[in-house]
Amino acid sequence: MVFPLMFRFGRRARSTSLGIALCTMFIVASFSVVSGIRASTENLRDNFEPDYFLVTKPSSDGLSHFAESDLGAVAAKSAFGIFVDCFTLPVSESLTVFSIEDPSHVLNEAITGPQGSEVLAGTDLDLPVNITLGSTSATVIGKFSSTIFSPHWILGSNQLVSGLGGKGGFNFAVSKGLTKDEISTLEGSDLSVTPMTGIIQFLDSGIGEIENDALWVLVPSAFVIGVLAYSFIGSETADRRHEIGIVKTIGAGRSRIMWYLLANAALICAWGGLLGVAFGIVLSYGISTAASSAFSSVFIVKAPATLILAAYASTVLAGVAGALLPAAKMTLSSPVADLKEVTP
Amino acid sequence: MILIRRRAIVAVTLSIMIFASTVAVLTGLRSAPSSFAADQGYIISDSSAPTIFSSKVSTDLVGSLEQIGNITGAVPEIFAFSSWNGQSFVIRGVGEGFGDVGEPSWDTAFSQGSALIGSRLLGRLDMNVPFSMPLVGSYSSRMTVVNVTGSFEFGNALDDELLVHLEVARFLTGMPKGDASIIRVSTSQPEWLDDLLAPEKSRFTLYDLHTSSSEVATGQPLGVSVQVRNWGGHAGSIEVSFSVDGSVVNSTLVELNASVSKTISTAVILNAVGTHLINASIDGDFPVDLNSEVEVVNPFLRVAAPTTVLLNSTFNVAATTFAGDAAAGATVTFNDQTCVTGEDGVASFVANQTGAYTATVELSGFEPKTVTVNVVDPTAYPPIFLPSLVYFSLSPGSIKESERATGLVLAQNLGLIPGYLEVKVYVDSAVYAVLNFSLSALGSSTRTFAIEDAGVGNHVVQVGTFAMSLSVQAWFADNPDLVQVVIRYGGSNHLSSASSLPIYQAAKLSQGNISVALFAIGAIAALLAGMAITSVFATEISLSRRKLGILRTIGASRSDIRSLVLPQALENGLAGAALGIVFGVLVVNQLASSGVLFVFGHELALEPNPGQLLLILIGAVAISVASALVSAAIASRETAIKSIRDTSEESPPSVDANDILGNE
Repeated sequence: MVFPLMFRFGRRARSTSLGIALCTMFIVASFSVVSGIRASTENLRDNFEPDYFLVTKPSSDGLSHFAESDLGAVAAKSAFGIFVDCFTLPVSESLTVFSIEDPSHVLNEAITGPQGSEVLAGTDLDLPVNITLGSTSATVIGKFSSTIFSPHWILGSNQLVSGLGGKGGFNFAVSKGLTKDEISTLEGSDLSVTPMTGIIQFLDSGIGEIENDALWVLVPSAFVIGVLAYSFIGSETADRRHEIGIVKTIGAGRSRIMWYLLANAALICAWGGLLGVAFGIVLSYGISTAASSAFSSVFIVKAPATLILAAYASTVLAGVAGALLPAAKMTLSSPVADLKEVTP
Repeated sequence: MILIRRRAIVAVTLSIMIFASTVAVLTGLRSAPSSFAADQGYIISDSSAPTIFSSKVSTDLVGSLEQIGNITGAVPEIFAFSSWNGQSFVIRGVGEGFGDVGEPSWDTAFSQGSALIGSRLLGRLDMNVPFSMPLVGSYSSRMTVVNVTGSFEFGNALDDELLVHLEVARFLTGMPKGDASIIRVSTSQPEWLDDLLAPEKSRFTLYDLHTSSSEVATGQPLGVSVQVRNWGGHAGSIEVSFSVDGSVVNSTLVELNASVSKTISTAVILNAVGTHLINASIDGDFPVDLNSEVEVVNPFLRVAAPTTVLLNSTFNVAATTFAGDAAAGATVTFNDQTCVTGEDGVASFVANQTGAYTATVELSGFEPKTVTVNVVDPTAYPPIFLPSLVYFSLSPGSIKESERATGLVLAQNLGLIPGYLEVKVYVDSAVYAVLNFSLSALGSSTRTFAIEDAGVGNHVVQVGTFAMSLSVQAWFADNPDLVQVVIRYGGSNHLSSASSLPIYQAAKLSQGNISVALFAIGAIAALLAGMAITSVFATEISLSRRKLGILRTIGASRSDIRSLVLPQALENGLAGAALGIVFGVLVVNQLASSGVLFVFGHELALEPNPGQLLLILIGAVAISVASALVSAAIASRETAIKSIRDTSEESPPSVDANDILGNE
């Protein structure tokens, strides 16, 4: 099929494609800035390597208990623990009592709970020798020191803590070096897996939030592209209505007319989009250079191919969508009315 | 005659709706940092820290702030972040006084194991209060657990956070004791603090008023110095006045560039014995008065000499002035011997006769001082080491926080066997220094020590059975003004309004980067909206060219056409812009209530700004009218016949019907 140029691609087409190019440039530059923010944030994130992951089983009251076997193969690289809150006398304060079992030596510190009713206090706690945890008497035989667990906790034996909580099993595990597949498997078993270095997930989450917010710039740009395409096709079809009427009269079907009009709109948008992508890349690096020299921090701007393709596709799609209305109107009009409109 | 159809209103409405929403989002992004101030109060943070999370501010500042009259609340806070069940969130560790900052005031007391959760965060976690929640460390692998005992809804950024005890956040972040991420401050006079924070002219303050001594002799010159700093944004001058007991003794005009300090000194002579008030002051927008008390005494000497010496042995007489300085050049007379003290204020004598003798110390300008020394026969004393402390003085007895006090201790051996004596100096019952004496038979020895880091307040200094009091005054005690506090803690740039937190630097971006980027996006969005409106009005006029041609043919002038186009463009532009703003506000409200836009763990605060909306309305109408008039003017220039024929100077492309129909 031959692709006909139905319209004169003169001054109007040039100004329309330039307008579309500006919109595309805006999209590309915005995407590039956001991509730069992602790159900068990921650089920051790379400074924090997650050693351990906290595995829990969320429930409506916070945490459920689970068995060691629920972690499957991950159990071999996990330490298992239980914590419960107990009203403690004579300090009359609710304190967290925990136990930890680390048979695989996953933790980088040797932390072993005492036996029976003996407990160790965290370094921030100042407890007398004889205390009462809930209704259970316990003896504080010393202090424990840990870089992982709160210094405001009390360390007891698994038997003691299970008895205080009245439940078997564990309510947390500390796992080391989990792969993405292992994390997915655990999460598929209704377990929550959280890197024990919170900044990693916080920055990941922050990047997602910024990208989500940045999508907003697509809306005004796409709208304007649509309006420009609408105006261009509307004006051109009005100018060329008589000629299109002749084409209809000699046998061109409605779908064919529609196809031609939309194809012309796509052509304008494709050309404007190409210009816009070129302008956008130049603008992105211009922003990068100017901002880096103007401010003390390095402003990284990246223009990845996928985002450029997405911006280009958005441009063409928005343009075609904008042209739909005048194209449909032209397609549906009667050839007789078209021919009566203007006497050439 | 209708030249611009109603459909133009639709295009203007959509353009303005989208633009107004975009501006609200951009404004929300720019003000996102204020979420860390919980939209309440002012923030004191470490401006040199790369992020708000790594900011460290001394919590001692809280106590200083609470002394300032206009400050109604000050609370230390530590930011941490954790995640659970796939949701990442901000933890705010809060200290005492949290409820005093912000509205409504809130009486909150956290135990170490409890927490309160914001309503929006509670919704995101999809939990029911109460529940236990594990928290992980912010920068290293740590864990603790809190019992979430309640939720709250304030309608501000706190609703996205978890509030815990300050010490819980300290553990999660590894923040050192005595530091916090920020101190949030509220004031009863926001205008005062706003004005204070944004000085657009020269602003001066005085600090560190020093006198050369807290105790001075009559007629002796007293050095007085004070630091003056211009903490404003421009150079300027200020008159610094020194006064004694209310009478101005010196005035100096000081010219300083922005952010520059200078020491101003003067000397005064006080002749009346008693306590005098030394004052340094400036007037202006922020008057400052600094005061210091000086004790004027008749000059006297302190003399340390052994009470007992061995016949034919050598002993020392040490003389110091009342201010603690060595009395060099003093004449000391003992029995039939006369000696002049050296630079250290010490004179040596030989005990050549048994009996009780006086040692008289004379120095010009000072009252003579006499002490008694017993010269004894050694055979009358036991052959043992018998040390004792015979003298202790501390000068001066009252100092400022940054000054030092000097102690002098004299020990004596009343036995015939030499030995070593260890003497402990106690400050408030804690060992402050240890002095070692080497004592010969019936010999004596002096040792000095300095106290220079004592905290503010009254202290007791104890040496053996001697005890003396030492009063230490705070540097800002004379004028605990906010400016003084801020300057003392590192400069006025540490204090910022809620909207200028360096949170964006989490992504290594400066606040300036973000402002420029957001402004650029806003400008381009405005350009696009203008382009859409222009395009639609130009198209409408273009489609009415035939009508314009007919009007021109029947004699309508260009001004007639302008008169015809103007009201239609105005009407359509105004209606479209007004509708666009209404729909824009609705979209913004919908976005705000849906909570889909987040920045750094906080929901984006989207609030339409009336000023911005009015500006958008005016701009949209102006663009509508201008684009319609320009298009009409261009169309009017075309010949009437060409307009009616609707042809162009440009030739249309030749369309081959066979191509369109697909025929070969």
